[in-house]
Order: sequence, then structure tokens, then C-alpha cells
Amino acid sequence: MDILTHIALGAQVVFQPINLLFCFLGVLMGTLVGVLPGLGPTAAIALLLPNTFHVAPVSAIIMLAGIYYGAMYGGSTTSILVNIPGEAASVITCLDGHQMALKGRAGPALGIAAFGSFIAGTVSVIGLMLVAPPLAKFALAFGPPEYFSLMLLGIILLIYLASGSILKALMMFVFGLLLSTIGMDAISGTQRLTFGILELSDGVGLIPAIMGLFGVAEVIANVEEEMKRSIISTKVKNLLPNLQDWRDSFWPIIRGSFLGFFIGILPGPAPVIAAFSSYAIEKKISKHPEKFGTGVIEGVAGPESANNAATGGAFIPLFTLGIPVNSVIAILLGAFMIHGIQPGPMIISKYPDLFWGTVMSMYLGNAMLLVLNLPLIGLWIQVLKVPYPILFPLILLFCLIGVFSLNYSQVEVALMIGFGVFGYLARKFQFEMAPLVLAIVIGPMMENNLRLSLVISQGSPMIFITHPISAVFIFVTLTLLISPFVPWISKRRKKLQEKVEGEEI
Amino acid sequence: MEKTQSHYNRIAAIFFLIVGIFFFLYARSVEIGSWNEPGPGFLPFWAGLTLSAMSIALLLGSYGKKAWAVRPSFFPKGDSWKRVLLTFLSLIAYNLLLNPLGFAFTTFLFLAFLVKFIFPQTWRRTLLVAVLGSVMARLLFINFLETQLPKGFLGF
Amino acid sequence: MMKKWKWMFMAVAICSMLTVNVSAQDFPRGPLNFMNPFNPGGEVDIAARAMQPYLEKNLGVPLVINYLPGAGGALCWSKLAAAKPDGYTIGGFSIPHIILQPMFMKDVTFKTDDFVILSIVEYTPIGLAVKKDFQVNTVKEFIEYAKANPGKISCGGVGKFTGHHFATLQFMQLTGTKVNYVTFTGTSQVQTALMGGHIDAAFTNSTMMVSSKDQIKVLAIGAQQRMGQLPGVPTFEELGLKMYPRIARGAMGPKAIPADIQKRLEKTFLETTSKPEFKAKMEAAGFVPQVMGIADSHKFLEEEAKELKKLIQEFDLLSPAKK
Repeated sequence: MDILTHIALGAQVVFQPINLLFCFLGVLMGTLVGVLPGLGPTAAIALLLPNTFHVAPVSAIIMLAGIYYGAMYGGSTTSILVNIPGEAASVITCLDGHQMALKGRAGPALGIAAFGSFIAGTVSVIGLMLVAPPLAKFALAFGPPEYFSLMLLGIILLIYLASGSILKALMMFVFGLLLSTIGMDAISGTQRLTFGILELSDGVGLIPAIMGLFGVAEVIANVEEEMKRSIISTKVKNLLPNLQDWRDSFWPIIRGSFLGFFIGILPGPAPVIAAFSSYAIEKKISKHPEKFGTGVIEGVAGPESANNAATGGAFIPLFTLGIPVNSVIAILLGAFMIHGIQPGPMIISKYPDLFWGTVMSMYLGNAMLLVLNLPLIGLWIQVLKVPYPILFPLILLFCLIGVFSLNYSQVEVALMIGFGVFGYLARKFQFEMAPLVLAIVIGPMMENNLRLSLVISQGSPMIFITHPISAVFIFVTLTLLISPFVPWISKRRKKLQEKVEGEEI
Repeated sequence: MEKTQSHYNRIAAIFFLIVGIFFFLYARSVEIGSWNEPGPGFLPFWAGLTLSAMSIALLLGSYGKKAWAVRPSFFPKGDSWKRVLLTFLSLIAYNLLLNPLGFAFTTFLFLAFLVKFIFPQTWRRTLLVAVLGSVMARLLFINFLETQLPKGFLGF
Repeated sequence: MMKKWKWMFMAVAICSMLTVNVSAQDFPRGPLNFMNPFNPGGEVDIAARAMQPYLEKNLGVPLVINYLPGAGGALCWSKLAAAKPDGYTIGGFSIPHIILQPMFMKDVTFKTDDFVILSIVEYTPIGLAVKKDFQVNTVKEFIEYAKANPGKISCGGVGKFTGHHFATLQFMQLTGTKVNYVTFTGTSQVQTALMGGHIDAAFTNSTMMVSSKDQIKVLAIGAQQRMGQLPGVPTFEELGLKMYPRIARGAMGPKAIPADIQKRLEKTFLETTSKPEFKAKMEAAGFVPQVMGIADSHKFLEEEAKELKKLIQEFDLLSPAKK
């Protein structure tokens, strides 16, 4: 079969020693970058890329794939261990992953995250191989109205399943939307609430917000409570997921992989959306939704798989339309162009060996990540054994430097501290942070697409309904919104709420 | 001193109400635009309005029966607020001192301060952590990752 | 206990020694930061990435490309004008954007002469394209349709007070029609929107037309003569519309960069852009490559500014009523 020959071709290329070396370097660098909060893959790639000019393009691409996946996985590590997300997509992993760590189950959490990511990565690579062109067509069908409706649906889904009060979660979301308007307006150029501070022109940064809300706030909350960490009691034996964990995680991983892959096709912060959606779906389908947030492995397996699959799906617009959807993939594009390859729809047919080499390299990157990280789990657990009085200043230090080194801006560090204060207070007042983060991440996109849609439709909100895909999303959103008022659904939700409230605190 | 959840909700509601009204009013100073050409004030206006409405709903709800769950008081363990405050202040200090004092030295001070004064450790441990921490950080960020961190007047 | 102290001191001393930088090195001593005012995949991006390997080889340091899209480039340029003028931060630009935006946009914090233009690397003529299943096939039909349905055709472009915006205004003025200008933040967005049929038309760059040839219908191009990369596409001039809209791009930095560093950067760009294989790559993508240093680029800038001002006055193009 044609595909098998291609795979063989790709594999032949990829398994050469030098490529294996580059892959390893990439994965290592990527993991390091992912673990250190705030340091992005782009800078890492930029530093390593010049070393690859003398070698074949495939080697460069293999390294890029390694960095990309490494960064994703590294972010999960810190989420689970110290409740600090390495990047936005790892925010969800914090919810249950960290709880698992606190119960002494950091090893299984990390392990499932690694395996889940591997499986998801594989699924997305296979998907890429088989269905790239038709999927690209599907992606094209998404225009401003569809994006807006999709995001609206995503929000409602997430908030509907909030473990606390819906009203409060919605409020946090709207607050986040308002915060996301700070900065120079993308369409008209008007400064909004920047008070003349140049750093604020491109908005309240995502990294300072996450670092503050999750990193700083968490540490300070712990400092207040003199929390004793029970991780010290972890036995070395419990490093890997047990059979029950596997059974519980199997379907979430599968679902997460497919979900993430499809979401990844769409431009924008796909891994984040994929992770949030997966969590929401797993919680909804689960037989024990009230346990989410206390350390259930499904809450790690699903989202981790989803965000990894999304990174794979993100390659599709590049290969089919020649359009990169984020800066990391743009670098890949650059690597192509260096070798005279014109980005565009014809890329797969014109340069099959490059395409298949890339595909296989992504697979290799995933595999190597697994190999590299599993043994490291034991090492990471040791980190947790450091007494908290010494550990927490180091964590704070990483947050500070991480944010500062983004743009060498004291303003952003100050923002992070501000978010830290806010996050700390929010915990006290029982407000959830995830909706806020989600709003900051997708707020600008939502606003842009809303305004674009209205301009295109010349002021008519009907555009959201006349476009079929958008209409579907709106319909589901409305259904979710209205359902509390439908008696029998409302009764079920009340039962759920009672269970939750009983277990709250 | 015990407070109920409703009390907290009320305070929060008022906070968000103020925020909502602020944005709502602010939106008018940047162009709100029209439905067929939404301007920069469009979203702030509607979102601000929505937030204000939700805050009022929360406020009203806090007088209802359900919200009487008792919540622990704000600072359950007496003088833990001192630790919280000190930690925040040290963060702010780090931010301000980073440029004048340079990365390595500021890091050293920061680590030493927190280790010694929040959950007091011995001086030996403090110094060990502070020195090792700042040296490792310097190696990692400046040498390995080539980040441009301030050198400060001490030159390192 | 003493031993431990000694050990620590040694460690610290060794570390500090290891890290004394071999100073007294010329520019550049570290990575350069290139700020892209638009989204990944757009013209600035493609040109920058095509240049990247040559620049990096020439300068001996990595070139990190960062994206800062928004407000048609104004966000990035505001930041670039305020960046440290040490030569380590440079960015892409678009002419006429950097001329028009300070003139007409409110809240903009940069001025055209805040920058030194190191090199103009290419320009792209702007043309008119429509989505595949739109019921017009020529510019003439387009104009008829527009006259019959004023304000109904959605026409995409990047930013306000940019080349695309200006081309749209010019077209409307010359043909007496009205279309609905939809503002995007980057060419790749316009491209997907047009390919997906979400907007009806777009005034957009030659490069995009070349890469999406099969998924859109290109009606005309604003060049002096037909472009080899776009066979069968008439120029506006041929159709009786005297408009030659185009966008010129390259690299620039804050004006206060020291003169010798400016020269060094200029040299790097000139050496890159004069390489035949570079030119060939650019042409294949639909660009019109240029080789211009600081002096030539500024001259070009002044001439374009003069031409634009003339057009604005002649046609009253940017009065508040028209926007």
C-alpha cells in the first residue's frame, strides 16, 4: 500500500544516528523549556536552529518536533508537581494532576500524562497521514462567525460544569474578557486602559497571569497554611500507573486524542481549548463527576492527550494550506523555505519525502519523549521531597525570573504579583480561576471574530445563525444555557450540586 | 470570628459591580461604534454591563437562604497574615531591586530572606540554599540559556 | 563545618570566573530580535524567513523572529520606536502603513521618522481577488455588481490606514462604488477567509495570489505591467484604472541606533538581498525583490510619501466622512 512505502521511506530517514541525536537534543531542550515557567519554545528553537544549517532539513525538523512536544510535556510536569502550569494548556492538568500528587500519586499522574501524550501524538500523526487534505477543507469552512460560536460554546461548556457556583464562574469569565480588552485594539489601534504604559499595549500577558494566579497565589496560600506535604511518604514502587489507572484512563485518552486532533486544525490557541474541552467532556461523561478536582486520573489522561493531539493537528494547515497557525510552526515553515520549498497546498504532492520525514519525526519525537521522561519521574519525585520552607522560595524565584525573562519587563513581573494577590483573594472568596484564564486566552480572538462577523454581516447578528456550522454551536450553547430551567435536568443538576457541596472544602 | 459565605459573596459582588460599572462607563470614552462597525468600546460596554448585572444578582442571592454555609474566617491561623504579607513584599522588592542590584545578588537576598524569615531555618541552611540557589540560577539562565539578566552595580 | 564553607567559596569563585564574558567583541554579541508586525505566514514572515539563514551566517548570531500583530502593524511599530536603540532589536515594516498610520490613526505613538530604514527588501503589488464561487469574473463585472449592491460586497484587507485599506479607498474613488472593508490582522487570515468564502473579495498582495491561485479568482493586479508569476491577470491600468497600489517591506530599527551598527546591519541586508538565489526564491513566491540600502530606502520612502499625499489631496481619500 502506498502509505506503507511512505512510512518506510520516512522511517529510513528518521532513524539515522544523527537524526536520533537531534531528536534527543530537541526533546531535552523542549522539556527543559517546558518545565521552566515562562520560557517559550520559540527562543529555544532559535538558539538551536543555526546548528542545523549544515545538515539536512529533516534533521532540523526532527529537532523542532522534539522541542515542541518536549515543551508540552515539560509544562505538565510542573503542573502536577507544584501546581504551576508551564503554559496555558497545562492549566487544566493542575486541577486533578496536582491533587493526585498531593495524595502521593505524582508518579502515576506523570506516567499517565506521558503515555497519554504519546498515544495522542501517535493518533494525531496517523490522522495527519490519512486525512490531511479533506481536513484542511473542513478548516477552511471556519470563518469568523464559526470561531466565535465555537468559543462561546466552549465557555458555556466549561462553566456549566464548574464545581462551584455557575454565576461566580461566569463572572470570572466576563471579568477575564474585560481584562483581555486592555491594550491596543487590534482593529482600530485605539489604546484601551494602557495608561501610557507601553508594555500594556499588547495586553495583559498570559504568562504573568498564569504565573500569578496559579503559581504565586498557590505558594502564598500554602505559606499561609503551613501545609504539610504528604508526598514524602511516597514509596518508590508507586511510580507507574497501575492496572486500574490504565483501565480508567483508556477511554479518556482515546477521546482526548481525537478531540484534540480536530480542534488542533483550527488556528488559534488550540491546545488550550482542546485541554479544557476534554476535561469538561470527561467530567460530563464520568460516573463520578463530583470527584473531578480531587485527583481523578481521567482528569489528567484526557486533557493531556487532547493538548498533545492538538499540537499534532496544528501541522495540518501548514501542510495543506501553507499557513502556520502559531510561531513554532512558522519556524518550521521557515525551515522549509530555507530549502527552497514553497509553502502552499501542493506541498505534500510535490515534496513527499519531506512530508513523510516530518511525519515520522513527529512520531519519533513522541517516542523519545516517553523514553526520556519515564525514568525521570523518579527524579522529579525527589524534587518534591525538598522541605517546603526551602522549596517555596525556589518556586517563587522561578516564577519571577521566568516572567521577567520573557520581555525583560518589570511591568510584567508587577502584573504577575498583582495577579498573585488577586488569585489568593479569589481562593478565599471561593471563585474559580480556570474561567478567568480561559477568558484571557481566548478573549481577544472572541472579540475580533465577533467584530469581524458583524462587519461582514453589516450589523446583523443573524450571521451567527445563517451559517450552518455556527448555528449548530449556538444551538448547543442555548440548550446548555436553558437546561437548568427544564425540570428533570434541573433535578439532576441539583443532585450533582449537592454532592459537590457536600464534598467541598 | 466566623463569617458566612454570604458575607464573602457580598464583598465580592460589590467589587465586581464596581469593575463592571467602571468598564461600562469607560467604554463610552473609547468609541463604542455601531452594530455594523463595532468599535473598541463595543465589548467593554456589553461585558461591563453583563458583569454589573451578574454582580447585582450575586448580591441579591447573598441574602437568600442557601448561602449561609459557614466559612472559616479570613486568616484561620492567627498571625499567618504576617507570612503572607512578607512574602508578597519580598516579591515586590525583588522586582524593584533586580535592576540596581543585579540578578545574582538580588536572588541571593531574596532566597535568604524567605528561607530565614518565613519558616525560619538555621543560618547555615539559609546560606547554603541562598548561595547554591543563586549560583545555580545564574548558571542556568545566564550561561546556559543566554538570557539577558541585569548585571547590577556589583558586576555579576 | 569549615570545610563546607571553603568548598562553597571555591564553588562561587570558580563559577564567577567561568562566567566572565570575553568582552571587547564587536556587534553583534548575542541574538538579534526581529519583530514581525503581522501574523505568521504573511509576507513579512516569508521574507524574513527567507533572509534568516543568510543574515544569521553573516552576523554570526541567531535571529529570533517574534510576532506582535495588531492594528495593522501599529502595535509593533509603537514598541519598536521605543525599543533600545542598540541594534539588537529590529523589525519589519510596510510602506505605506508607516506613513499613513501616524497621520491618521489616533493613539499611535510612533512617527514615520522615528526609524532608520536599513533596507527595502521587496515590494508586492496589490491586486483584487474574489472568492471562487463569486458570480463575477472580471473587474468590469465586479464594478457593475458593486454599483447594483452598494456596501454589500465584503472586501478584506489587513489593518486600517495600510496599503490594502488605501487601495480599497482608491478603487472606490476611481470607480464610484462602495464596498464593505473588513479589517484583519494579517494576510494569512485574509487568505483563509477568502478561500473559505467568508468574505467576497479582497485587495491583497501578489504573493498571496500566487500561493492561492487555484482557490480564488484573481481579477487584476496593481503593477505597471503584467506579472510573470500571475499569467493572464490584467493590470488595473489596462482596465482603465490608473492605480498602482503596492506595499514595500524590509527591515528597520529605531533611529538612534549608532551609525556604525547601522552600517553593519545595512551591509548584512545588502549582501543578503543581492544574492541571485535569494532573488530567485522571492520572485517565485510573487515578490518583486529590491536591493536598497539606507539612503536609497529613505529616498523611496520620501517619494512614496509625496505620491500618497498627492493622491489623498486629489481625491480627498481619507476625510473623516469616508474613513
